[in-house]
Amino acid sequence: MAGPSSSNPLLDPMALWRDAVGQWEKGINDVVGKSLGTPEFAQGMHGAMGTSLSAQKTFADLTGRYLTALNLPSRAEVAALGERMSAIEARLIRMNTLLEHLVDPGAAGLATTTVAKVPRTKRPPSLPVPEPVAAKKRDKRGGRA
Amino acid sequence: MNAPDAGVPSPATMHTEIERAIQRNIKGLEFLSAGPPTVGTTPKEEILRRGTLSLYHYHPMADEVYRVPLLMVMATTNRAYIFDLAPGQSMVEYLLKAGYDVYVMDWNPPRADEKHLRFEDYVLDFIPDCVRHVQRASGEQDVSLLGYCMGGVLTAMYAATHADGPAKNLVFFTTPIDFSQMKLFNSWSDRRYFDVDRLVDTLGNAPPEMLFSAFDLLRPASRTAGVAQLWEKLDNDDFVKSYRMFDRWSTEMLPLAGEYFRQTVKELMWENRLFTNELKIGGRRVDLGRIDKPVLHVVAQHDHIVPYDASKPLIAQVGSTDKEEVVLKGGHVSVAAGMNAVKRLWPKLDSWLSERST
Repeated sequence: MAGPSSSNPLLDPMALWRDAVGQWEKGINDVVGKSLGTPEFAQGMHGAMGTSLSAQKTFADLTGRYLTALNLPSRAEVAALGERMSAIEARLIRMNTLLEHLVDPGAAGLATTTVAKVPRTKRPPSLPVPEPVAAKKRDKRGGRA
Repeated sequence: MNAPDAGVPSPATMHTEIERAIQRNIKGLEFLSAGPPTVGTTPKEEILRRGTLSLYHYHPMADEVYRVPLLMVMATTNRAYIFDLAPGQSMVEYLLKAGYDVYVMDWNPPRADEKHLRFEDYVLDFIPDCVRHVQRASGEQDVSLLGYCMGGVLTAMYAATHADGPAKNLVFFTTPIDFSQMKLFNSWSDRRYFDVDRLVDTLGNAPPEMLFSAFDLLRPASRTAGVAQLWEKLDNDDFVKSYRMFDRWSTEMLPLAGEYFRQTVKELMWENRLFTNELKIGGRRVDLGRIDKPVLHVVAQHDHIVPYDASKPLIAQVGSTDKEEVVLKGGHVSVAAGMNAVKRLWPKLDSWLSERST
């Protein structure tokens, strides 16, 4: 907000705060950003990620064995079931599409929208109204129809 | 009354600041106890749902609409309500009131069993399927497409592989083409250190926490500085409302389908094949030069996610003769929402699109 106090930071205590935050943000982003772009950072980051992935895989394997012992499905097995359900769902959609196409071949088997229809006659303000003379002018200059 | 000494706040200034400090404390409590902000309230209908994909048709807000419908393709990392934050801050609402028939492709978190989704599914199946639904719902063959960030990448891939297709106009927001110019992402996905196969094979889908951390690390101090700025402006209801909506959107990241993530890293980050026109999708080469439809590309001058150098080649590489680039001040999100978008971009978009939508 422009005003007498904003022209003199000493008259606006919060202006000092804003400046300090802005400078801190820029400084950190510049300095840390340079470190983040080094190969050493990428190597360290992915080293840590690799360790984490190994731990996750070991844990998942152990949990899988435990669930097998309890006669319970693992996450992977539930996901596989989900995948089969998705395949069935996709097949149902295709069957529905075919059925709709059989009922109304012109519909291309697609669901309709219940959103109210409005005339598609709007023209941009820069273009003339669609009168015969005006339309002829547009054709002459190769306007987009 | 004596004139205030230079450098000493006047009693009136002191009074105002004390009032603001009190308001900050009251509003701060409200902020901490408030639930998530309401977003995406413009009336719409979901006309297609296929796992991770949702296609929405928005209710018209004008008595008549332009002939050509508009299909917006959201980036796969985030939810599409960035296009429809709140009344008065909604690009969708703006376009509806300007007389467009608007459809939006939004993404739900891909399920574990959707880890196999690839570029092929998005470009050769999801987008064409949505285009067909838009054609059916609108009764028009022509469709304009607008893609944001990776949504723009998918839109470009679609347009290049369907050069004779129904796309009438193409609008891109901050769409990366030259991935070698995404410096930090490039460094972090260095093939010497990043074992993307191991990540995808172990986790299935790329977790949103990992993606969020990567985006956050691009500007490591900015989130904290944003909170400090919020504290200063806690007495400003509009600012707080806007902050909460943007914060919700930026933190609500989506996982990425595993194979899609693997392709992104290998094909785009490592090999830069979109830029070199060597990318193949389902056996079809993605040659941006085959795009000959009118193109508008909106880029942000201070975009730290998709730097200008990464998005700049799009206009040069498409084969269109009717093409235009608009460079806006601001960052990656400011093209989709925010005051810069409201005052500058949306009117420009309306002006460009309206002449090509009859």
